[in-house]
Amino acid sequence: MEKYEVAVIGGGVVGASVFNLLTRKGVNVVMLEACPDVAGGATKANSGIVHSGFHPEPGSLMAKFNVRGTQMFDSMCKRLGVKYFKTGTLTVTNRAGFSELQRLIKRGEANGAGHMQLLNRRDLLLLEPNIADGIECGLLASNGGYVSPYLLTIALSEEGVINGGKIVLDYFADRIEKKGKLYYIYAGKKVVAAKMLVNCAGVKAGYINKLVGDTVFNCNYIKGEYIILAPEEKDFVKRPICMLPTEFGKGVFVTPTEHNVMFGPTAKCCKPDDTGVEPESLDYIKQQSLICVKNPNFKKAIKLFAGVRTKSGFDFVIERSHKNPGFYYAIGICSPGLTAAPAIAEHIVAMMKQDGLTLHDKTLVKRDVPVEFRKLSPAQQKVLVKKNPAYARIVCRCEQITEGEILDAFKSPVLPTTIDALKRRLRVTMGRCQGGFCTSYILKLIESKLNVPMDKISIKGPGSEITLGNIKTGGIYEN
Amino acid sequence: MKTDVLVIGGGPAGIAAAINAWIAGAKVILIEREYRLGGILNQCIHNGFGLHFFGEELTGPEYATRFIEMLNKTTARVLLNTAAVKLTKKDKLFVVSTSGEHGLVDIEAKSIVLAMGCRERAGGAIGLAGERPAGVFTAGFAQKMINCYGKHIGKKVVILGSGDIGLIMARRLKCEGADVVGVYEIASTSSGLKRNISQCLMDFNIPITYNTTVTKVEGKKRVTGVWVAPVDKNWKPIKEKAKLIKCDTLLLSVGLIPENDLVINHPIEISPLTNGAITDEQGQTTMKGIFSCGNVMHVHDLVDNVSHEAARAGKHAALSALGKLRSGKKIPVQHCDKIRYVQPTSVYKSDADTAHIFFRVKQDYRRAALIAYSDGKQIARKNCMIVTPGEMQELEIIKTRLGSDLVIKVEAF
Amino acid sequence: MKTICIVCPVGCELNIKKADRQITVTGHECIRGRDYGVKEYTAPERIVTTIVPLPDGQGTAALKTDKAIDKRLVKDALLEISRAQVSPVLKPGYIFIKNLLGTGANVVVTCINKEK
Repeated sequence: MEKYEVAVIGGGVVGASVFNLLTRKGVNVVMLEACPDVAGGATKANSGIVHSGFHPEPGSLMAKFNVRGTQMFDSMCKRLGVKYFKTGTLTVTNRAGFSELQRLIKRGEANGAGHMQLLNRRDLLLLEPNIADGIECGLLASNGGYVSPYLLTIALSEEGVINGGKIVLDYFADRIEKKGKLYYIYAGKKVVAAKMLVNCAGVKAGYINKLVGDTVFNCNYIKGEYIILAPEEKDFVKRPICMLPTEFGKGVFVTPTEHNVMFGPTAKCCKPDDTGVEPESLDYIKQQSLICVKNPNFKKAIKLFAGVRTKSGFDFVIERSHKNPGFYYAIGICSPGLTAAPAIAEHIVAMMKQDGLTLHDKTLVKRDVPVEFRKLSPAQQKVLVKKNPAYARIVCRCEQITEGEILDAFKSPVLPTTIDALKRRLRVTMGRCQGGFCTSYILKLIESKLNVPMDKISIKGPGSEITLGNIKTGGIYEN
Repeated sequence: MKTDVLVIGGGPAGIAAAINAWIAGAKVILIEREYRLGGILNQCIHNGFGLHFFGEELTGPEYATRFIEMLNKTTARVLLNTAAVKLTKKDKLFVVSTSGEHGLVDIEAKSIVLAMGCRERAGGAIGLAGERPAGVFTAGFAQKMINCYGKHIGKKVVILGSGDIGLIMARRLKCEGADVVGVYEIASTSSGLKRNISQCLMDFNIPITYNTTVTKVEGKKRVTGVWVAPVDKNWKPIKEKAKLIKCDTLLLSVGLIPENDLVINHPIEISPLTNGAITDEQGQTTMKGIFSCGNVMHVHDLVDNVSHEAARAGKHAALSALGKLRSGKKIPVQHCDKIRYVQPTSVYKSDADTAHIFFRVKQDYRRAALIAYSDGKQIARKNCMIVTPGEMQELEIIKTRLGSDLVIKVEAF
Repeated sequence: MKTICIVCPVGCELNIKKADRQITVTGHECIRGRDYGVKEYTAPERIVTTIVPLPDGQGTAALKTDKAIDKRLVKDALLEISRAQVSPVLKPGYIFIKNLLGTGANVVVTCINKEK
């Protein structure tokens, strides 16, 4: 049985941030993730917006960690080699919403959200030519922008592993016991022990608290659904554009990603594991987005998806347990959770230090930033191809991802073994054809390079395999 | 690397174009991203190809082989495992950057034939709601896994859309032991060939339901069922009538989209109706020196038509490269509103002896006369008991009969 | 009997009747359609296509019957093909099964798929 100083349960952006910080402080830490890859839960379906911090109620944890998180984002992403598009965010409204924008600015100032500016329609059009006709004014918050939530989480995890941390994937905790000074976390027959335990399990955070026998918080689960358009629509907006927030949340955004543009989320109460997109929601998202922008080309939609965030009351719950010494939990991490993640990690680790965890600064081992072959200059490409001809073999034709990049990913400290894990790292199967052409090649590559029989290769873990065995005997005409 | 004509794509269109460009006297290079020529024909193991071209019924691979053998008799150079990544223009030459077996190679060509084929429309594009489990396949991907990889992909299958590949796969799956629950088509008629309804569905007692679509997929890891609902006149699902059908696999056969992404930033006019380049009778796009043929130009239902069309494009690409392309007076091809699109969109008064006009009608018409008029006179005519959108129509125009205009019409007879 | 002709892509809707031992076909646009109609009424036939996996498990051989066989035998034909020993030296044109089920049709290889 393996023993650690700290076990972090949950490999989303919050768990990975805690894990990453602990490894950089020389702590012997393990991160346990139920999915076959990190960022497998709410994180993968996050909108990726880095908020400047004018949304949360002043004095709340959300406000505190949002603003602190935004401050940390730049240097964190630079260190990790993750692209952070610091474009600012734009909140737009018709004339009636003007006073509400002024209220948001006041709130932002109270929170310390950095530079904010009111813009009239003319100024808005210079920034975003596609805003809707009814939009008369807007709030540009300079601190903020967008990031890939899963690439960030993968990078945090990889850097953590390189710096001595351990990640166990497919580890679904089903029993937690405290014996003496150790927490024993079981997953079937597997067991891991640690002196301190951090619950960052997202929608499962309540469940983990229950396993520990700790306070169970009332949680609501809120589904956010999105529509993604094809890469050729990417320049539709240059920064996240949102409407005035309502009591249900921040409303429907139009937000760019590095390669696409997406519309969403909705906000519907649901069961914690319900990530299905409702047919009616499509029309809702389309209608709502028209409040902010005009003529979005929904004919170019390539994918719908949904994620579930957890809400507990009106604020994050980030505490040390009073019943169980050495147990910490982050519950109800909804928006602005992505932005707040590094600050939440800082806070939790500080609590652990107060409680006796020894931290020491150590030399950081840098993470190798993955090659993005298509973005290199022709000269750089030629050098790489000379070293490894696999970079000249294009596997995903839509996104122009090469075999070389896939082979690189197979050397990653957090090994991608599913189609989705590869997709998030490299964008294979993420383009126009949605995997119609390249999935077969990727199956062959995983089969031959990772030695996984094709019928065992899944989209997102056991039960989601793509092929169901060999056609052994030619035509088996049974019915 | 330098050549007169560069053909991009080694499927049926590219092969026929390369052969005919070579026959016309040009130096030809053909690039193909796969390890073999033939394109999608390789996975179409069923019969029904070549009746027009060879007068006999061949399977897809056999049809491809006939053309590959012809190509092998030419001195056209074939580069396999080679993908075109970028097209640029350098003075009068085109430069195609390729990536593949030979590393990163720029090929300079005097003219280009686009023959990249098409891709399948996936679930996101049709607003397929629900979870995102394994078991949702486009029909062509399923065809490849079954026919080329020899893999089972599902036991109980629902098919959405009645495109030809979907119908062919209904039969294939049944023959491999799967239970094909049914085919659902949002339109009131099939988008595939009628003969495929007959030999793939009726022969195997597979039901097809029109005016019906799949609204939602159930199942987190693997498909456990799909919600099927009838649609109203505007193709909006009638939610109250939705019912859950248990299955483990959903096959999508909901349309093909020409893959013109290589030329998207060039001044090549793309038809919003076909998603392919608009071409003249010679197969030339609106960018001089670039020709287009096969499914990258407009989606065909018969490979025989692709071969003919590509042969013309290849020949004229060669003539263009050699500076021998004749043009003369261009006559636009007009059409009545019963026709969705025509291709080519213009013909030349003198160039060849005949011109072939391909078109699709908007809906089913019974007892329909397909007529070409010039200066108010009938110059070509075909009477059909029924014409459907799923079947591409063709009229041959004898040039000597051609006056100052050309209008294609569908009339009752 | 009503059916759709499968001889070519036109898809003529055939109406087949028998009166006084004489079969009449209407709705066809060409002579092949008429012949198909008569055949479909008396003894319908189909070409069968399928695949068998290669012995090394790395790909498939695509097969067809070299002429149409009795439609009622399609199921048995597929079973028969599935029971046959797959030679490792298959190539296009190779006769996989001679005289399938006594129909006179041979099962021939049309293509070898060795996916990489």
